[in-house]
Amino acid sequence: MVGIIDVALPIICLVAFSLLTIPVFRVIRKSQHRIGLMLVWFATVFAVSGAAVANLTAKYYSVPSPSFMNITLTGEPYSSLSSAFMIDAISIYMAIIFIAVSAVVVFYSLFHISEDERLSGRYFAIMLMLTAALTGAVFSGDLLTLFIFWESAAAGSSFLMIYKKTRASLNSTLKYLVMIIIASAFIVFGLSLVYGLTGTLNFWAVRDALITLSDKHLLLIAFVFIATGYAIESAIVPFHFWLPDAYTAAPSSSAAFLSALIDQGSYYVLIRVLVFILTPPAVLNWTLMLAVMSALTMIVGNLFALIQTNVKRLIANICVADVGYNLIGITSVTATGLMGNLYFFLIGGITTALSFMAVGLINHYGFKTLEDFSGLGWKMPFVSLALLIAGLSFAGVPPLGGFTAKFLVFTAAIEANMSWLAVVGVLTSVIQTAYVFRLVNYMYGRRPQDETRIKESKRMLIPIFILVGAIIILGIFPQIVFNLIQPSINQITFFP
Amino acid sequence: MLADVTSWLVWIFPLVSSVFVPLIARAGEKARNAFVIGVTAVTASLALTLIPAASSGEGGAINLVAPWISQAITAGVYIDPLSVLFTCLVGFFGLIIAIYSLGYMKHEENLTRYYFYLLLFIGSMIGLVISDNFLQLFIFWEMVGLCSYSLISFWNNRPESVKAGNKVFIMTRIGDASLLAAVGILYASLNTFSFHGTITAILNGTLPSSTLTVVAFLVLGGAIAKSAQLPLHTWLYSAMEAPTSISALLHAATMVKAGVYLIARFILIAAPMIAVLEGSWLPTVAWIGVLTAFLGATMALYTPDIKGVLAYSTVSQLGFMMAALGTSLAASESLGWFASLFHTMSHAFFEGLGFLLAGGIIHALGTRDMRLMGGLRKAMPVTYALAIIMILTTSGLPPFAAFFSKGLIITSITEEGSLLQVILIYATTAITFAYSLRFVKLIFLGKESEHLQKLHPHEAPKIMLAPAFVLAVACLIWGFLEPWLGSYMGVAEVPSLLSSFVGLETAIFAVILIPAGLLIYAAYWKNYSIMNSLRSASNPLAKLLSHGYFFDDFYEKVVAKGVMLFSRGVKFFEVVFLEIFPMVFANMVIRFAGGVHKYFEAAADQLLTVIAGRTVDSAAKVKTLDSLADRFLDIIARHTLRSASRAEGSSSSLQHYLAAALLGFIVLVILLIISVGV
Repeated sequence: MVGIIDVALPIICLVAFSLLTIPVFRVIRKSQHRIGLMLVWFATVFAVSGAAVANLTAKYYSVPSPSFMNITLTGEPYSSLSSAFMIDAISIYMAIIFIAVSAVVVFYSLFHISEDERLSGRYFAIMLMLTAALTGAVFSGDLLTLFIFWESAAAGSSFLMIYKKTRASLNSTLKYLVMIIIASAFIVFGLSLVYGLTGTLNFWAVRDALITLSDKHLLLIAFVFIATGYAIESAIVPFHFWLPDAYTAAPSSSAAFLSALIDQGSYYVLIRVLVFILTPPAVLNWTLMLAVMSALTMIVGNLFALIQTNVKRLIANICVADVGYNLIGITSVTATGLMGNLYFFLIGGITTALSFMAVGLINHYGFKTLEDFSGLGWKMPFVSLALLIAGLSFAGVPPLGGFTAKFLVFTAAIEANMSWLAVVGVLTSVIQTAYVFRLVNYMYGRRPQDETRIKESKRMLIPIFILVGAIIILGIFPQIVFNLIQPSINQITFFP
Repeated sequence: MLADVTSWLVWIFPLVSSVFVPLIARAGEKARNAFVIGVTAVTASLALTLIPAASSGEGGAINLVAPWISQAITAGVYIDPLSVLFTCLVGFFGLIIAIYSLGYMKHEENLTRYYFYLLLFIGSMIGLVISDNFLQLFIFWEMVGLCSYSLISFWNNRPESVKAGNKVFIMTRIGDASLLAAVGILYASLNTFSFHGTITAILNGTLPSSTLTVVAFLVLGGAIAKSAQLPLHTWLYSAMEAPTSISALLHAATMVKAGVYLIARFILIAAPMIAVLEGSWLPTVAWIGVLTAFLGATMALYTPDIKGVLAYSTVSQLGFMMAALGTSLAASESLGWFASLFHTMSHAFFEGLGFLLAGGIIHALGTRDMRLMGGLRKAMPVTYALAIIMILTTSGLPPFAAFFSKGLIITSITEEGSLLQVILIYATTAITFAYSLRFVKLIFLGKESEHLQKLHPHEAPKIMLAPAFVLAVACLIWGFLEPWLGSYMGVAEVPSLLSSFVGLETAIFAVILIPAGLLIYAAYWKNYSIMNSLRSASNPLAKLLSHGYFFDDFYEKVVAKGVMLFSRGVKFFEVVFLEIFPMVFANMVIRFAGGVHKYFEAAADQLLTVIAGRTVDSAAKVKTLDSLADRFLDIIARHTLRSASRAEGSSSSLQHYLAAALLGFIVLVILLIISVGV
């Protein structure tokens, strides 16, 4: 049986390690082998937290057919306002991919940050803390706990953006913070209405209460506010303005972390709160609303990426477009859609992370715009290959992971009788292919002005190629991920 | 059983041996020649051992299968009288030609390549006729095409040879495509390639009759191209650029018979449903055969090329075989089917003999133009004697082989064909006699020409005469084997020799030759002016014949031009619709993207101004907020100015974020109200 300790252990581990990181760094900073020692430290961190998650997974699946498990501090199944955790297959899956992707990004950041400037323990402490907050968010069992964990992750990520303290990053981080605060205000207002309606914030209690609700006008208002709040945080068009600015101004390692973890976390929250817990379409028929938003996001995100000349900003715009593709899956409310979403969380996350990492490595040598990328395939063959594979995965070229992800969500849209959304998705994928191949054309189709080969940092290439391998392997054998996803598909009832 | 092994060896052995030719050539020319003769001799004897193994009748065929690509696609051999007959033909002729080549190709270079392709051809050709499934057959079908191409272009420093090779390869490709389509359709509907599986399916009636008809016509398309039937016959004349030994082997005796084999085999396979094909397919085959026979014979009458006569004669004789196949009613019991195969063999003997003799003459005179020849009988007496046997056989005079086979063909056409077909076939036999006579007259009779006087030609060497002699003997005795072959092939009513000699057909046959002979006599011995005017180049009939009925002109001027025009159209379409149009469209999308980006900013600005205006309005009412409003306005104005001057693509201001968020909130509310309803 899963106890409160099992659930809290990964979070506690990560927080404790996060707090320890600063003193540890202070100690080993002077050492000659500081990079090696830091590697060992983070290896320990992720080994221990991974073990904690593994322990939880094992305990959860030791029950023959596990379903939702509510775990409260007081021990009662439902509590009205006390913090509560809830474990199901989705939370387990999300925790696993968060820890795994976080590990790769942290290793990359270690090399990336140490290339540019003095290593600071704070940066990594914040990364670990954010991972802890995200893990907490996916384990939370009531709207308030979720709100606290999620907002701390969302707001806390501003520290990652501001790390370089340039004028641009200060500016965009400030704007991001303002948006997050506004979003929180929207959410809290909505939650207060929900509490007023149902008298509880626990997921299942709220759900049960809302299904039997007779007058839905207040719910409608609450829903609009909560949806707006979370839409701002997951950068759905037209709330997306902060994302390209923030990701472009942030250091590449931060952008990788944000796109692979915080972004995916925000989609998770959307799914959890809007679709399956708070208001399934049977309670409040919102599918058209989200479908329109999804189409808008795909169109605008891809169109904006099309006109970008700064490669990092281009990839930031792909992140916006990815929100749209994820929304297709969310909107469809089908098993295939959920499967596509959960697969997309992993693949989309590592693909954007991979491209930010590669671009970070390239930016380091002063190549920023498309013009600068001319002939990069000859100058920096390895990292260009990685970027090429990431681009092809974005464009949905089989057998890379991006293809399977898009295929699943488009199929889900067709299953849910929203073929027009799938058509929009495919058409915008064409635009995506267009700018991806423009980038490829610049990298491989043009000769560089000076052809001297640049020595690429090998240690930075290692995490990059781990992700490249993951994209290829998970693209060819998606069954590996599907096996993890399958239990969550079986658990969810789509139409209560 | 012996046949179990030999039936595989007979085609694998020459195929594998061909690869070793270049290796053994290292040891010297003699070793290489001995190796080639050895391989062809072994192949021929292996082929002969198959004769007793094959038995005729229903299900009598031996079908040996080996695993190949998958469970449904296997490799195998199919031994029945039909395949054994062709195997023996190829094995025998392979040996004959290999020996002949020793003399004929003696002074050529690059002979290693020549012998390699020769062995490869023999292996593939036997593989073609002994395959037990359509896929294997098609692969070998392509391989013999490749060998034909390479051997026609053997003198690859001569532009005409290379051009001719290309022409042959491309024209036969039309038939290959047709055959491939047939095989593909059969596989798609039956899920098997094998003859046995197809026969079973046809017996069980699982193959729809419409599919069978389509497949039959596509198969016919393949056979037409390979066997040089109308309208794809023109390649055979171009193929005469090949060394004459190759012309004898590929373009007279064996490869061109692949089409005949295919049709004969298909008739066997389709026998249970032959009624479906009787309406349209069989008459088509017969008509193509009859017309080809007639037109080919007339063209042979006019060409000045010594090999051209033999090439058109081959076209014409292949027409005879096709016509006979077209009159075959049901499977192997029918007379037409047997007559065709019987004639295949006789034709191989006399046409092969003709080519071998022509080779000797070309060797001696160094030209192919018959107008430069004449009076050769004194210089080459043996060749002259053999040529007499050849033309007597070609014309179908008793007791030579073609007399029996042509008699059978005419009988079967008289029984099953229409009157017009009968008349045309009789006319063709007469013309055959005419062109044969002309052939002998132009080359051997009359005075010695000027060209000849300069050269002092001599008789061909013995090694070239010996194979020709063997063939001449075969011409003599083959006809008498008719009853034996008839029973071997399983013909229901084995024709007796006596009935061949005395019959209505024979009488007409003999009579019809007389006017033809007289015509040639008038033209070439007496030189009557009316015949000369007929032969003069300005005569439209002569023009028609000298241009080969304008088939090639039609292909070059109309078909090729049309294809070029079409492909130019495709190119235009490609440029306009696949390049320019997408380019314009892509540019439009990019412009649109830029527009949307700007519009978003502008909309946010507009929204801000409105809000600011309202704020100012209400602020004016509240005095204490005056200064605040002023300051706020000031900020807004400054920002508006700044953002207006800002270039696109850079980061936008916080005010725009907020305005956009507000816009989004409103959109969300509207959408939700639309979808949920209040």
